Amino acid sequence: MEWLSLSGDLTRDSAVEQLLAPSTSADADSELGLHADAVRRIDAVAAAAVRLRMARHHREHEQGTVTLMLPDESSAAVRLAALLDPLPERVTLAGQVNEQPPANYALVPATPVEDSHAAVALGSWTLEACERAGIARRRTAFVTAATMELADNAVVHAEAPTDAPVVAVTTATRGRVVEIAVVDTGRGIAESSDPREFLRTVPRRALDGESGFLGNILQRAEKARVRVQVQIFAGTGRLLWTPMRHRTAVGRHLSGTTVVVRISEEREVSRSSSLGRSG
Amino acid sequence: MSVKRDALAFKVPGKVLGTRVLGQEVAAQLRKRAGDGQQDLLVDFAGVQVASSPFLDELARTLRAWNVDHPDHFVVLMNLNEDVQDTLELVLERRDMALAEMTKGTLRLIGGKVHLQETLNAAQELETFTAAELAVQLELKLPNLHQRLVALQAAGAVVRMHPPGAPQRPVVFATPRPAELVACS
Repeated sequence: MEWLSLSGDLTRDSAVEQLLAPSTSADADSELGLHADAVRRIDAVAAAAVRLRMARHHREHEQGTVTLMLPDESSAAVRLAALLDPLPERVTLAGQVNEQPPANYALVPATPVEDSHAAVALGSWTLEACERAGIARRRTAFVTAATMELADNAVVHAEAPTDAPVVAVTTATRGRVVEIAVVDTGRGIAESSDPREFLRTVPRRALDGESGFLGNILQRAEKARVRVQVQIFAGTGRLLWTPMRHRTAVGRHLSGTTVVVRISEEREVSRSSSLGRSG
Repeated sequence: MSVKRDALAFKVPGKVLGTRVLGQEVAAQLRKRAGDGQQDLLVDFAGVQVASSPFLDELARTLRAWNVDHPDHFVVLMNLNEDVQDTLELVLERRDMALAEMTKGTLRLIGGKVHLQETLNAAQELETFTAAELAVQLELKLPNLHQRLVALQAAGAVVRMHPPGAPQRPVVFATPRPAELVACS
């Protein structure tokens, strides 16, 4: 039996840090108890990290099971349940879901992406979800391409990953804001000698014309008439990147690489997330 | 002079196209369908709603190689929606490439500079022409025009023709006629 109690203020950093921490049980039939009852906020990163932890538990424990205690706060519970639907096998939810999530909140529930073909299938799924949600055609195309390529980027470039990357997409304010989160277990950046320096070179390489999807999506954003903000957490490195500027920071060490792309309508003023010590 | 041409229409399969791997697979299908390259090539994007930049990059590189290997045949893209056009434009700019595309019965370049589009427009008016004739039309010196013709050939929008007769006859170029392309597609 393994217990993991998630803290109430589940920021992106703390979600990845807690959920991707090493397992403490080696039993084949180990049960993982994920206690999210104190959690007060959920986003795409937290859901993707939960889904990745479930997949990892099943890989490490052949007959292992997972019990997820949903947050006590109903809005967080309903969001987490929506982002984990459908539940994988050998996972049980405990707790109450008494209300409906906001319409189209879980645009794409947390989904492991095994290979490039799965990334394309995820793209088709995203397109249909955007159309159902009534998202404008240009933003639908942009969100679809971005989701597909971010997933494939993680599949192709994650170095020595232990598990498939997990992608989740959420919408807010009637589809005007979309967040795509990709969490992978690649070690290339996270375990490099200076993750912050590594991340600092990413925008520079894109400006120099090197191919790379993150640079491409920022370029495409203008034509698609959307605002885009890219946030990357890898090891101790953090990067916040918009078409106009980028900044890096140092934070607590996190396993793997997490990429968050926030897409909003042009008129929305983008708000920078807190990155800790900036540089 | 009008020459009847054969064309092969390749339908790009799928509604959502992404990843470099899928781009390589579709490019391989295209090469296989096109066989030994004895026909013009029409690449039809009808039904494609989303195509990402890595996917289009693979396809564009394949078409560029195809143009180099088959300078006597046109390569024209058709039925691209606005989003796919925009993405392809970025991909081609990054590669310093251009490709020919037909929209609403008009041939245009994606990724090419303005003067190339002007040259293509003038060539379209003549349909078949010698370099000297096109140079007169555009009021350009021949060496400048030759550079543009080379770029348009690389884009698949202009081909050299081999008219019957003595080898010393001037080289004749041609651009595709949109009406014929529609009939072939």
